Amino acid sequence: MILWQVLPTLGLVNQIFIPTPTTILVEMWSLILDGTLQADLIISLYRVVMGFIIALLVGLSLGFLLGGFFKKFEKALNPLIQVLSQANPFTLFPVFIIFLGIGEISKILIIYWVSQWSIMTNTITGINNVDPIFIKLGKAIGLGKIDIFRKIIVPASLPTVFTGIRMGAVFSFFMLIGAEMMGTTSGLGYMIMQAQNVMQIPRMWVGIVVVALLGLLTNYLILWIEKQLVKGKEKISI
Amino acid sequence: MYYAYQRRIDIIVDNIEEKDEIDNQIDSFKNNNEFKIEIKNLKKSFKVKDKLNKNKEVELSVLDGVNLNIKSGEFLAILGPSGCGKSTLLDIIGGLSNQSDGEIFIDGKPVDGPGLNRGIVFQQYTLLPWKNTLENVAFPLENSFNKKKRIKIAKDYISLVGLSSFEDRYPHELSGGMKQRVAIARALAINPEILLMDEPFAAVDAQTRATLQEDLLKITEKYKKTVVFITHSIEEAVFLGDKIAIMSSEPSTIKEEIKIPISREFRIIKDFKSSTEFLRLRNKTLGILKEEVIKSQEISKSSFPNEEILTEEGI
Ligand SMILES: Nc1ncnc2c1ncn2[C@@H]1O[C@H](COP(=O)(O)OP(=O)(O)OP(=O)(O)O)[C@@H](O)[C@H]1O
Ligand SMILES: [Mg+2]
Repeated sequence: MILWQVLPTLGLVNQIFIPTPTTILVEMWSLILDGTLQADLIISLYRVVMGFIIALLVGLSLGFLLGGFFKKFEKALNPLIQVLSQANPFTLFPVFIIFLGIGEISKILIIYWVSQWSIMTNTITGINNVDPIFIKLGKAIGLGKIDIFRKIIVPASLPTVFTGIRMGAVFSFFMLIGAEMMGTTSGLGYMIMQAQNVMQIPRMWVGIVVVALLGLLTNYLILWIEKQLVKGKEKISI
Repeated sequence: MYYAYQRRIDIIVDNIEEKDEIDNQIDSFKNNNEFKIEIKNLKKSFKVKDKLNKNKEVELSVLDGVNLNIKSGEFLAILGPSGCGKSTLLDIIGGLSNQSDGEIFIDGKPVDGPGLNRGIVFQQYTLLPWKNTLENVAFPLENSFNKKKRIKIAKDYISLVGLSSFEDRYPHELSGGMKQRVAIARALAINPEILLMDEPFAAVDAQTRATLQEDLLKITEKYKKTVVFITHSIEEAVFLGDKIAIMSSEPSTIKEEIKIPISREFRIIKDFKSSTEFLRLRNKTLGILKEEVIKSQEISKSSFPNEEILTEEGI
């Protein structure tokens, strides 16, 4: 941070391309004053939150269903899931736009589409990696299928599930910016893109910083939720 | 002084032995049909991949006609070479896997799946990592008692295994021995008539082990549990068991049953372990087991070293 402030000030780094934090703050303040930052922020948040929530709902339910109850189906489907999740998201843009136009829906859906895979696959992996001895224990104390799933499989796979959720959040932001750089006139991605086109470098950086902060914040929020839900996890540091 | 004590114990032991023999005869008259667990010609085989042809499945016969009768309130210790099928047998008694052939009865009824009349302590650690000690012990009670009652019962059993000050700890914060004690408390909490225990003390040091053995003997005596207890330690088997069953190497049967003709009361006296009777029983058991271990190594040339089984607890 200090380096960031000092280097451009001393002229060691080109101030035009990498402005100092103070320049960015000043620019940010002026954008807040005229209301454009809030407007872009709100529309972006709307898109990313919607997309991510749909991804959560679909990814988690498909993941738990496929991993928990339809193992054979999951095995058959696995290659397809792999292919779909590996597909380059940017090549998917045109497809989405053709089918859904360039409205809000297509942006939300593309965020959802890209984010769901890590959530789904991590959920499936988490379930597959539950130690069978825990399931044996569940049977031994007389639990039925649903109880074993609810009381053993779900909590046991939760740490891996949360890894997937955090990855999904990262993808959501990534796709948000991507989607907003194409065919839209609002949002943080558009703001970054637009500022870059007209060489308003400080404004571009405001956009980047805000997105980065949002991403960080989301990550911490998810970590916090995870901490409330996942108990007794050993903290190992290397 | 020591020898005087030793002689006294041995005299007691001799007397008990005589009395016990009479008891046995009476038992065999009246108790013919009152076994808690009856195992008749039980067989179990697994489908495994063929060593040579990976695509082919072959039958691996593990249990090959096991016969065992366990009386109500009896403490049966099972010894046998590693891999002979002890855990497999316990799983079947617990209703967690099905036999391939043969019959198994509990209270005269064929075993059909698991049930709360059997509490199991597994060979592996099975505490749920996301639950603390109290929650783990209360876990099997969730469908039978309300929360308040569950917690009360769990607390009682945790204190029984001496872990009251660790109620809030999570499994990763407990030592291996503590974890097994929690698992024992959990198995006891459902108040089962039968306890199935698979090497529960394997992970604890000799001193703790001795304490746990005594506690277990007292608890099972007090609550009149029928116990099937698997162990690799001959001393443990002789100390705990009313009867020891020695399994042969796989495909296994029960090779021999040894009655321990000494009441639990006297076994709990610490010096039973240094009495000559104890040594005699231990050596007898060791002799039979040694044959089997050697045989099992000849069969499988497994990596399992002779000493591991035979030198435990300094034999
Ligand atoms: N699910 C399974 N599928 C295939 N083979 C199995 C299975 N479970 C056990 N076996 C085999 O059955 C044999 C007996 O296993 P088991 O776990 O009952 O041995 P054990 O007597 O408990 O050994 P240890 O003293 O080492 O715990 C072994 O050869 C093992 O490889
Ligand atoms: Mg075993």
